[in-house]
Amino acid sequence: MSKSGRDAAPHNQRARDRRAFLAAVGRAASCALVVPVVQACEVSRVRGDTSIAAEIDLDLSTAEYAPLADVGGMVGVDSGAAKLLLIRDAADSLVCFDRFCPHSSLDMTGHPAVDAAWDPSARQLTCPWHFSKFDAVGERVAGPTPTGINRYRIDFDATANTATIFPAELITEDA
Amino acid sequence: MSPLTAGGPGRPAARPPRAALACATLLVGGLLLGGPLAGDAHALARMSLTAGTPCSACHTNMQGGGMRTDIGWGSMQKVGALTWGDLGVNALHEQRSNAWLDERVAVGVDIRSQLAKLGAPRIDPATGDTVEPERRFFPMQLQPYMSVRATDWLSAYGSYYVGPNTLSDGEVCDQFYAGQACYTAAAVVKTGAGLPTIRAGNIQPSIGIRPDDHTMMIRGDASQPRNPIIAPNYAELGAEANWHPVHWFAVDAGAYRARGLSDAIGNRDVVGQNALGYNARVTFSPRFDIPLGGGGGGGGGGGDDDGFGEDDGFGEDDGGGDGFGGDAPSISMTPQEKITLTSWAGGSFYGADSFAMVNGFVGLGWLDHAALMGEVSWSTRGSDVDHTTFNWMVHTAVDIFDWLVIEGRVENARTERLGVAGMETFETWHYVAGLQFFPVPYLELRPEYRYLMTDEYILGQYTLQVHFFY
Repeated sequence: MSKSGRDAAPHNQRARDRRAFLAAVGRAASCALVVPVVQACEVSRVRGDTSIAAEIDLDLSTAEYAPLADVGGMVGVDSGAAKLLLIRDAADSLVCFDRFCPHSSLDMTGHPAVDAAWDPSARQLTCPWHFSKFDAVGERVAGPTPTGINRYRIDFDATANTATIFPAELITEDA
Repeated sequence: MSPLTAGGPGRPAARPPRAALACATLLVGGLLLGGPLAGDAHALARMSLTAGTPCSACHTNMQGGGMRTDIGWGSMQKVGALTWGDLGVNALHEQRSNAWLDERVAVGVDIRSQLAKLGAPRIDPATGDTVEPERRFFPMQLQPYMSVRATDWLSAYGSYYVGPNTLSDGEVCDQFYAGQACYTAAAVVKTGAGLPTIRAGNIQPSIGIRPDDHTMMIRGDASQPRNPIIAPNYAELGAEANWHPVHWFAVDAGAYRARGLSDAIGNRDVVGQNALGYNARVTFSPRFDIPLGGGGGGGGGGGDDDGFGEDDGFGEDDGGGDGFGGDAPSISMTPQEKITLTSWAGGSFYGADSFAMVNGFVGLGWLDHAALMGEVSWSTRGSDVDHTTFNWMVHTAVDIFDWLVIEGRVENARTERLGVAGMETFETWHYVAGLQFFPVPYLELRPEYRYLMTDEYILGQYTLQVHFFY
């Protein structure tokens, strides 16, 4: 075997090592590039009407609000981007909460098999998804939710069977 | 304003925005371009198309998913960036079977968790700000399996689906989705070579392609995203015949009490609690060998050279769907002198009372390398209830190594139903690109980017599924 022939093998080995090294660097760089690209593609956006009315007037005599005829009955309300949960608390009062549980941002009217529940005696709301409980002003009572839930001011006229919700006015103390 | 009963008001169907397409194209394209840089693929079979075998070769369930046969278990035993042998755990590395007691009893498990944002972005009514759902790590599936071979012609398998609240407050059966089964259990009777296999018990009817991913939308309802028509781990009491007379043709048909479907539909007028459900599925699965140069290879239709010997102890030809017997997979890894293309195409029907679901599916695979498949699913709840779904998906996967697969899919779900404001249309698009990475055998990491666009919101996020299986 010639001198050049003896040198060829280590030369080829070095070339293979170099190629393997460059390939590994290339793959690592590709992976490193994927992370910022994926992070840059993260998006979270509400579509459609994103407005929130200062006052939401409701005519509760229509069929859609029939569940509110009974104490403990509840119904979801959409107004623009406001997604609210309206509950018949007593004969002369309604309460209004956010419809999305803070635990997993899940719609409490959207569970396929279980309804959200309002306990009129304890005055507690139970989320149907993972059973977080909230008191009458929305403070966390139990369950996996990390925070309480917003409760909004609502004026209820039992005689006229109408109501007005004020989404910008949070209730922090129970009357 | 409009009161809601579920899901929110429908809006005119939306088309995917350019940003979504650009993002998905960039990610899928980047992954695909990155593929060739990673070297030659030499993957073991991981899916029906890339393995060229029926689902029942690797799963005791004829439709795929769940308890693995010894072939399914064995085909993944050494699939990992590092094997158990590399880590010095030779007892696992050299284990020859997942069955004990004279190979009569086999066990398995699926444990799956996910890191993801769960829920939808929304506007805080008090502030007007967008509130993003929080990213959390949460359990998805804990399901142990067992199969028992009583005789050469009779076997049984079962599983128990442990939910997030199982065993809390005395809860034994915790169904997260309506129609989800807490358990599956079936007796499997081999009636003889060339004859149908009968399975009876609490089983999932053969419907279209069974997805292995709970996040897929093909069996869902765009108007009720948390209420799929066919829930994960769906099962009904009934019996099904599975006939696979030749390797390229199979037919399945069965009858069930459709209680789970009734629960999922939620309208007893559409599907009663004791309604008779019935299904039929026909699948053609020819394979083709394309000679390369002077290499071997046969003509169209392919021979029975899938390496899953026919003699699996039951004398039938379904590729060993019994969970027992049969030799370990022996897929050739020698330099290929031919390209083998696998395929399937077929359709299924599932009905009960006024409900009907029709699925069509097609797939093309390059043995050990890649798969491309698509499915459409249409359902109706009868003429008295205006509620129709039409979903489709296209899914591709490329094996880079046996332990690293890149995949992407596009899904569309569209529902038309009669609501309080008349006919409403709901449409959801879902773009997913990601990897299936097996760092060690029995452990799968599935990092993905998902772009979900509904009528009400857009949520693009990276996610990670952690899946332990045995």
